[in-house]
Amino acid sequence: MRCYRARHLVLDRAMNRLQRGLETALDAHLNECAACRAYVQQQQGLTCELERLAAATAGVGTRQRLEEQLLDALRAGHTGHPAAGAVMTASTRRWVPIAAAAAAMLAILAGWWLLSGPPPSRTAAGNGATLSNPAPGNPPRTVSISGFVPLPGAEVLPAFESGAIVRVEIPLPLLPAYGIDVTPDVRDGPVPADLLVAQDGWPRAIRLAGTHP
Amino acid sequence: MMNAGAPLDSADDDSLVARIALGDADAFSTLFRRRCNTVLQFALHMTGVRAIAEDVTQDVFLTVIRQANRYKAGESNVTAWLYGIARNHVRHRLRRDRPVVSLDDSGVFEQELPNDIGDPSRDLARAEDLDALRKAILGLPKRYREVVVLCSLQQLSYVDAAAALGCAVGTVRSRLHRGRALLAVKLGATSRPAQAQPRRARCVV
Repeated sequence: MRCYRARHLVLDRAMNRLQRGLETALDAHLNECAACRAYVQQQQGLTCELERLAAATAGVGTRQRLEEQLLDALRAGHTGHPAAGAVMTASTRRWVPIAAAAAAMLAILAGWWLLSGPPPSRTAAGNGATLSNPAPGNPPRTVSISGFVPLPGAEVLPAFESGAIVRVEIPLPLLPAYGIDVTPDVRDGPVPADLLVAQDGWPRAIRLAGTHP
Repeated sequence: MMNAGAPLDSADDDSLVARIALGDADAFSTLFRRRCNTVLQFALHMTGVRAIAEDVTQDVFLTVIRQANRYKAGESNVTAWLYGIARNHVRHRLRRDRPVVSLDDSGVFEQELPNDIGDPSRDLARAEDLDALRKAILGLPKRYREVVVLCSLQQLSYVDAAAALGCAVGTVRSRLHRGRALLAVKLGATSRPAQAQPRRARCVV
C-alpha cells in the first residue's frame, strides 16, 4: 500500500468509513511506515483541536428577535401581505428593483412595438411639442391629465425620499393601463411620458411630457 | 406526514417542512429552534464574522419559508438541504463582502470561547490555539473549508456533506483529506514561526 492511499484510509477510519477488509492492510502499512504513523498522530491532534473548537462554538445561538421576525415573514408571505419581505436583507433586495425597472421598460417598449408597428421618426413622436402643436390637418391631441399619476401597485411600495424622472415613449392605447385617461378621439401612436423612478429603482408615477409646466 | 395539530416536538424534519409549506408557524418555530444554531455555527465557521453569520442564518430560514414547497423528502434530508442553502448564502456573502471579512479579526470568537476558571496561562494558551485554528480554517480555500467545517466541525457524514454540497461522496472525501492536510501545514507554520517557510502543500501529503 502506498502512503497516499494509506493517508486517505486513515481519514476514512476517523470518519467510520473504512471498509473491514482494508483495516488489516492499513495497520500493516502503518507498522512499516514511520512517516504515516507521524501523519496519524498529526491528524489525531488536529481532530482533538477541531473538537475543541466545535465545543467552544456549540453555545453560539441566534437571538430571539430573529425568530419573531421570521414568523412575521411567514405569516405575511402566506396571506399575501406586502410585509412578507420586511426582513429581507439588502443583498436580497438589491437586484429586485433593478430587474423590475428593466422589466417595466421592456414591457413599455414591447407594447409600443406591437401596437404601433415601425417606430415613427423622432421628430414626429419624440418631442413633447407634438401634443400641443399638431401638424396642420391633424386633429389636436387632448389628454386629460395634470401632473403625475401614481402607477398601479405603487401604493404598496414604501415611501420614497428622492428619485429621478426618466423620459420614455408609450403607445396611447396603453395609457389607461397606467391610470391615465385618454379622450376617445385621440389617435394611436407613441407619446412621450415621464416616469418618476424612486431611489430604490421602482417607478412610482407617470405623467405625459408636455402637459405640465 | 403528520396530521395538523399533532405534537411538533417529536415530528421529524420532513414533516415540519411539509407543514411550513402550508404556512404552519408552529412547525416553522420548531424547525427553527431545532436547526438555527447549527446553521449559525456553520456560517460562523465559514465567515468568521458573527454579524454575517446571523444575516446568513436569517437568509437561510427566509429561503426555507419561500421554498419549503420545493423540498422533496426522500431525495435529500432537511439537514443537508439547510446546509446547502446556507452554503449558497455564505458564498454569496463572501463574494460580496470580501473586503469586510478580515482574518486578523481576533475578537470574532471572543465571546464564545470558554472562560474556565483554572490556570490562566494554560487557558490563554488554549484560547490562542483555538484562535490559530479558527484563522487557519478561514484561510483555507472555500471548497476545502466547506468540507472541513461540515465533516470535522459539524460532524456530518460524507453522504450528508455530499448532499449539502451537491457533489460526489468521493469529492468530499478527497477535499476533506486535502483540507485537513492544508490545515495541519498552516497550524504547523503557526506553532513554529522560526521554521515558517513558504512551502507547497503538495510536499507534505
